[in-house]
Amino acid sequence: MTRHLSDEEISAWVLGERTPMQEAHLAGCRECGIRTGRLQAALSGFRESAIAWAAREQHAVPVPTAPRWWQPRSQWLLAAAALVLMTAVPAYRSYSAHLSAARERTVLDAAEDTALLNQVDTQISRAVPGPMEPLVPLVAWNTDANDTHKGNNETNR
Amino acid sequence: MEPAAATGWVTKEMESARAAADFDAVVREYWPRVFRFILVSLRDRNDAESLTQDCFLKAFRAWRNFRGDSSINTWLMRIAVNQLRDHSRNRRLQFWKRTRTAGSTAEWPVADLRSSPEDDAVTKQQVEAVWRAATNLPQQQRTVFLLRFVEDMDLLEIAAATGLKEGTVKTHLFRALQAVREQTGGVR
Repeated sequence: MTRHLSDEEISAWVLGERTPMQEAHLAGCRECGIRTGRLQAALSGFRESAIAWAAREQHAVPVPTAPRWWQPRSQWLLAAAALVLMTAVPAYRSYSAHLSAARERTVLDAAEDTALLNQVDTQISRAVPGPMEPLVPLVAWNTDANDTHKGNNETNR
Repeated sequence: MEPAAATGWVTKEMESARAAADFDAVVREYWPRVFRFILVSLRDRNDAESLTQDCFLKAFRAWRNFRGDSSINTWLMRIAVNQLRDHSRNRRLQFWKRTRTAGSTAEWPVADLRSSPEDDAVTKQQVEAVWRAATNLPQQQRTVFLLRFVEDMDLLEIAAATGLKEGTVKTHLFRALQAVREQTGGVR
């Protein structure tokens, strides 16, 4: 290949489309080498400047090191809340049942206490000891008779 | 609440947390690239930042369904390309369009070039010419051009990122490069 590379061939070369003939020509042709090299240098410089510029701009707006905005934090909160509910609801139910049973027990105990108190009250309210109770009607009758007799005496007065 | 269902839900949440942790690593690694591609495409830092966030938010939502058919970089670039397309279509805020219509003498970010002093002026001129040329490219050509010459992606990756056929990508690249070469005066 003796002729110089066309502009299209230089573009294709830069894009990686190279024939052995072009390679052989470029190896020996200073002019084509300079043209190709300059285009490549311009493109490299463009890349370098773009990277440097972006790095500088990004320095002003750094990569979020502790990225939060895409993290599903609310989901974590929901998970925590669900766990609390999962443990709290059965615990509350158990506590509630326990409380209810305790209330029932208290009512029953109160009734038993009342009955016992009544029994004690009845026993200590007796006018005579238990063994003498069979005599109470007799005494009660005598008392009534005495009262009647006393009343008659007062009338007579 | 049924215990089994609750356990399943908690497991799901834990998987979600693991996915979020994996995604954190993805963000740390790929954020700069995505931001750079969008920044160079739009040449507006605020829009680039906003679009990069949108891009990663979209990526996060699709993260669980990512099967690794392509590389993460290609997958993210595809999302970024779509975001850019939507952005240009909907908001019409592109710097490129403004610059082209105004024909303004924009400042090109060539100050950081590390060339030797004697080559400095020439190189900067050539690089500015490439920036100018890229400004005037149609959007699809510019996208393909930037993915190739800034992000250093190969034809297959660019095809996957843009949804174009490999042959179409090659044609776009060739035309873009011709335009760049013309803008740079043939780089003689």
